Amino acid sequence: MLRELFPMFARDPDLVYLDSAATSQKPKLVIDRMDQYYSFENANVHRGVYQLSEDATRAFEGARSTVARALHAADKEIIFTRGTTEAINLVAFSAGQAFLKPGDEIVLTVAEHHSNIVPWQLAAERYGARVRFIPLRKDRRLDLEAAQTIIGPRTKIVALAHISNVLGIMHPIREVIAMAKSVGAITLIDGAQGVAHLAVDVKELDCDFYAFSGHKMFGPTGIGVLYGKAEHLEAMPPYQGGGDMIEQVTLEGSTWNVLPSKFEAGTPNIAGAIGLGAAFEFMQNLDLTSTLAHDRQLGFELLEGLKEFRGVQTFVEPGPDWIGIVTFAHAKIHPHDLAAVCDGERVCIRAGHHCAQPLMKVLEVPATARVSPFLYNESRDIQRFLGALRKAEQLFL
Amino acid sequence: MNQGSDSTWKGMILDHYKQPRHFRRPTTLIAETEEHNRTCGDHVHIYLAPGTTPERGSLEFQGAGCSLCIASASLMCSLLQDRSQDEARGVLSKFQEVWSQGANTRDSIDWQVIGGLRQYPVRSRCVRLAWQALEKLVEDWPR
Repeated sequence: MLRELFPMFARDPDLVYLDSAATSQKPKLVIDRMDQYYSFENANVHRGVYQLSEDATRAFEGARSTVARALHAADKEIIFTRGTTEAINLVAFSAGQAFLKPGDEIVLTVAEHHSNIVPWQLAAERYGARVRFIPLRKDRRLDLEAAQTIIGPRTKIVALAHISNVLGIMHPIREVIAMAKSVGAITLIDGAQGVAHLAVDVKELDCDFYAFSGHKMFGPTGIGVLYGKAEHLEAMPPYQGGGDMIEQVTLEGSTWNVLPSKFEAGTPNIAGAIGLGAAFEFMQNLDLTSTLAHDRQLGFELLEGLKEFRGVQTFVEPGPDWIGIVTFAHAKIHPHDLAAVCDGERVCIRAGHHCAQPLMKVLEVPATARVSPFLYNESRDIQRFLGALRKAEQLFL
Repeated sequence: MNQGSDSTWKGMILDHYKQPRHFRRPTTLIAETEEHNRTCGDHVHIYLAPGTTPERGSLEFQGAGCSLCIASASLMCSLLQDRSQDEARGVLSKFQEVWSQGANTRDSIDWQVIGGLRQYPVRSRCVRLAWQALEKLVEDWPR
């Protein structure tokens, strides 16, 4: 049973955790690997001339190689960051400085997470560019016809999510990448949800950048990855200065280290990177086709169960591109109150805007509740949630 | 105690949420203001109405939102009926003290309930929404 691999559920078998889109629980092997590093391997990396430091460096760079192999990238194309948000900020700042001119356009979608909107708004302000948004169709899929008219000769950057954290659908990123290439624009894929559910081959996708966090894919918090094509990373100025990113520093000026260090200023999150490597090793032993089918099955069970509740509106249109996330609103129960009652029943769900305020406006609700099943959830978890929803109706209606 | 335990939800909070006190727009107004939490849709419209003497005022409200937002507004308005400006400032000051340090056992039941809401820091903004409106309205209080 996959659930047994996670200490959280061994410690607390009664817990129903249905918020994996916010962060995933961690398997013991990831926790143990980080514990091992801190207990027996801890030293700074790329600095010490003693064995312990060299061992730490080997473990750290070994994690990078693990990530690179998993993504079908070269080691030097894997930049460790604090997470998806920092990775996107890095591209918006540095690629923006290298590639954007006044009047250029950055194209996003209305369904993006704030972390894939705000950095671009900042970049647009900084470099005199304009941000435009691809709308959704009535079925809540990306409007590719509209995208064709929005992505044009002024488009320099196109950025969108691999999977929407609210709608739970995989965007047609291959089609959008092709549109971007046809006008010479570079692409960034926000893979925060994607890498947790799908095998990602950045060469096959042929995106220019791919960003994700470790903590949604069984890894620790505080570590993430920016994949970038080497030619772009070479052309981009550094994002932050100091630490490993330097080659030489004088009072008159400094020169930069080679990739990937050029974009890894300061002492990295060594344990985090090693934990991320362990998380990828954990995922390599999973049949992602089966786990995705599992998540979808639980999502379908939930959608069926929600039909019992007349006040519930779901914002999900399940199809082959849906990963099982269910976002919904109750006409008479505020999402915060619903989540609070769920908490009383030991059921963890998310309530609020899910860092997607523009999407909430498109859906015409200020806030919603979200259930995100994952591989360690079971049918009884869905039934526990439905029971909590019944209790909420008893209290509030 | 977690958020969903019976002692919270079957208690005064739910009562104030389902039957909010002073939930109306008064016919005579001295001042009014509104506050929104656009991240979750909570909004309150607070009205300052005349009291029994020219130096006194009373609060009424309308709005929609989660149970903590509405209950907090209802409790606030209950505490601010026929008050002078000094008393209104005192109530606001008392809220800030209770919100940061909790209520003590000698405080009224209304303050005990408000103090109890401190254990839900994630819902802090819901609870404080009405009181943010009071910070503005207290300057318009009759003198």
